[in-house]
Amino acid sequence: MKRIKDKISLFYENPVISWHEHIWYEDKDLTKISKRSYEHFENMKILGFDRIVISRPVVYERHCPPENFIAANELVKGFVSEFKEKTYAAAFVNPGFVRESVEEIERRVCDDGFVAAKLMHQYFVDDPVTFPIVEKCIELDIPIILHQGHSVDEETLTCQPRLSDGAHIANLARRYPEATLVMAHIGGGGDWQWSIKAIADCPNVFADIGGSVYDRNLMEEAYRYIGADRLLFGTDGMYSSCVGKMVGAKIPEEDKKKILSGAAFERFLEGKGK
Amino acid sequence: MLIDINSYCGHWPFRNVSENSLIGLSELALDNGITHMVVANINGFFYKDANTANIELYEQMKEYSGEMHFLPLAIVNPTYPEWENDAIKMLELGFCGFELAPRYHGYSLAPEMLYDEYMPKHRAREVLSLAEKYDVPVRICASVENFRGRRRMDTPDNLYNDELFALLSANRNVNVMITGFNPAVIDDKLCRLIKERGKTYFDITQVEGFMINNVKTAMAKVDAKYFCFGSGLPFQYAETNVVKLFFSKSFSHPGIPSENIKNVFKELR
Repeated sequence: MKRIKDKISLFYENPVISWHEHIWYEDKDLTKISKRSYEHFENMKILGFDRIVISRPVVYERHCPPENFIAANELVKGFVSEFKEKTYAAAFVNPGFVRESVEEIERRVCDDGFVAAKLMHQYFVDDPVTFPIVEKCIELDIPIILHQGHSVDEETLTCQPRLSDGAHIANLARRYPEATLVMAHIGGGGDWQWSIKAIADCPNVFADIGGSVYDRNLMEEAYRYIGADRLLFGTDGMYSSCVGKMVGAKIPEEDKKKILSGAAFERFLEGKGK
Repeated sequence: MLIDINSYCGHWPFRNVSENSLIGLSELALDNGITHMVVANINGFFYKDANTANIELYEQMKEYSGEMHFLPLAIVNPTYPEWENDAIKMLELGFCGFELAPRYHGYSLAPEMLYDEYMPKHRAREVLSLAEKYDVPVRICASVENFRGRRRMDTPDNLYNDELFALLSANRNVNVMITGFNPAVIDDKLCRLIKERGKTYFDITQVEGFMINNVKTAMAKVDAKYFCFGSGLPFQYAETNVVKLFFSKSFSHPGIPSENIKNVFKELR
């Protein structure tokens, strides 16, 4: 166990920010933060995460109405207000409700100090319906965290028929080179090589390493194609998977520190209503 | 002692996986404190005659002179001619047990569940009977990679609860290691069987070390004594599974690193 203790010291001896965490509501009651959320938060402290960016996407509703994404964001706001020094919020919206989504993002950023927007699988991210949202995020100078995965299995495609992958994100990035996009959870399930290669040539697309998949070479290939400057640490709640792939990756230690610190994204956290 | 019950050498055809020789594997494993590796040659999943992969592993074993204690398994394809003689021969050459890859060799662990007149009947049970006769364990591979990212030529399904139930209830005497299976999906029927039967072990590669996947629930249902360490090497980062051991209260059971599985192998008794 000594060896792993030495390896994990990377997390305790360096600043760590996770750009992909969640909280949960209790039994679909969007007004109540679950006990599980606090337990997760304790785990993150044990693992040496200094700061985290949280969102609460409504994943079970393909047509999530505004009242639900507003309630989910309110839940996140409540949690972040409890742990101001360590947490930041990302605003989830359903692009199908364009006007409400744009208003929600603006309100959350300007009034509540949210630092990012979050889109799930309600629409492909390069669908024109997302364009006004992207334009608002450019105006507000916030990154957009994009749920994705190049999955080929029937189960995923049935549950998430509009699941984007790296290619959809690259399309969006090329249309809006001034936008800052985050390809969520490289290890979130699906062909990660596909998504990594798809965004390799898009300098405005960053990626977090989150997700349960911890295939060897995932980190090394992400590093080779995307580079440490465009990689962010995040877990999506899969702590051992992501801590393991960070410490196990054969990439230079200095670049691991760069990924953990989220240096490229620090400016998004400064002075945002904290 | 840290015994890894889920590792392979050989070539994985769906992506480039480095350090897939015994030497490469042992370097990765020793760096993580692993002392023993239960290893099979994954080429045997894909070769027409799986036993030729066992011979390849045997040749590598002869050449290997490093620190790692390898416990080699012979991959047995019970639908192929001469499988029984091949399996016995590999035990005579020093192999420690058998491995079944039903999804890759195209049979079910419970053929009675399927209507297929060409499906060989109960061959998996015959392998377990042979293992019982020679007092060696059998490893069953439930999955190698996450199902969401598989190539179309890879197998789409993991093993089902009902299949495992049918096989394990048909032979209650053989030690069976099930790798790449998410214990969180073990249903009540299989749970009850495992408790009655014993001698059934799951590795930890498919569970999250902290709170996701209900590993606590799975262990509470089945009992921690049926869980063992697996690295997933060379396909996964071993560090992830060592992190689980290091941190998680869920894995605090002292038997998981080695004690639960040690006596399964004659070589370690």
